[in-house]
Amino acid sequence: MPFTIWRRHRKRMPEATREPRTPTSQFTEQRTYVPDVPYLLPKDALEDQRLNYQHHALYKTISNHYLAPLTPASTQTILDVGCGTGIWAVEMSALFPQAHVLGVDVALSSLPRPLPSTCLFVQANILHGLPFPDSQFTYTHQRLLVAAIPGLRWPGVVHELVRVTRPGGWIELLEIGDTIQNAGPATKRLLTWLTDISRELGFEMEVLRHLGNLLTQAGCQEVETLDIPVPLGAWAGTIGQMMKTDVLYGYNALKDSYCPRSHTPPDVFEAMVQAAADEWEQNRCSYVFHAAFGRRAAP
Amino acid sequence: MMSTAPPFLLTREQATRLHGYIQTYRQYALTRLLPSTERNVLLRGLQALQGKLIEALDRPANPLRLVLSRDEVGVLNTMFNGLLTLYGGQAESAERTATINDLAALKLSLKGF
Repeated sequence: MPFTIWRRHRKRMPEATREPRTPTSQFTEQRTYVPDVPYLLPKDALEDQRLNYQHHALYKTISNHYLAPLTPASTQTILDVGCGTGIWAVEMSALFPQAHVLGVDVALSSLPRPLPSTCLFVQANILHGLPFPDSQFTYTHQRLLVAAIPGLRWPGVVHELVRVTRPGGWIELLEIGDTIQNAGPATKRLLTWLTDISRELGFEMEVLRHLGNLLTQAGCQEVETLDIPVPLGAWAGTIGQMMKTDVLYGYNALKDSYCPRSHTPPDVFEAMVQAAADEWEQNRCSYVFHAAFGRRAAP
Repeated sequence: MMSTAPPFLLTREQATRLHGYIQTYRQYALTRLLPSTERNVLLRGLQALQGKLIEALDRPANPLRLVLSRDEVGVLNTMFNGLLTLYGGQAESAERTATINDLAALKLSLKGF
């Protein structure tokens, strides 16, 4: 999803916000953000809850926690870049109990406790490079960092992911794009609005349609790309409803960033989102996710 | 999953084609079929088989020996049936006929597993 770096009304994350809360006042409370990084979503208990919900919704949507053809024998060291709440890393450690799983994020305030003994988390920013030597991991995973990586930085980021992956190892990317299939006028208006602001801020959505090319250019082989239409709405059953809920909460999380930037009153934004959401049910809409995975070539 | 059958022997060419079929079916299912428990179980099975096949292809052996569990044989049969239906619905062409024949031969070679 697109984002802005508008920070006038933001506050730094205090220790007190790190405890889980129930999202009863999500539409009125002030959100908290990670300081000094171009990450445009909030970082608070409500957002953690959304990310964990999204994790489960994505699992049901794409059938697994990963798309690369991994095997237990070849998956010994796993890196998750932008690990967020750590839920993906923890669940991968359950699927691959013999593997060491390492998560990286700009903030590690949301990790679950206790952590599995095979899981480790390191604070680092992919935009500054990863603090690991070359060829450390047999599988490197990064998903949904469109809010954190400006468009021009994507080639360098993918190159960095490939650098830390062993020859023959897999690199996987998954991102949400800016296409909603069967979009009606309200959905198109919302997407155009979001995409235009994102572009102004350097978050270019177009690059996300070329994740496979980025992997190839960074030295990957056997690259597979998938444009996965993710159904939005009860018309597609429970999974569609889950993804719709996730996207609506995601838009709500963006509100504090986007509305001031575009001088849009929050209630106008909410009406725009609601009109789009109505279309998703009527038109049986799907949000297109872009995925790509490939193997680092042998030297 | 239990390995109960003798190894499934494939030439490298057959294994490469089988890999292509798995890629095609995963792509089809992820992009065309609505998510469901049944679809997801099949996709996870195919994903694991794809990994197993790639590991086998990474080795220089010919023919390749794949040890398949009963569940994996079931996953492959479901995929073959799906692809046969998919290609069967396409306009006739020499390529379509060759693909259907190849799929049918691979499916037949699984009989007895």
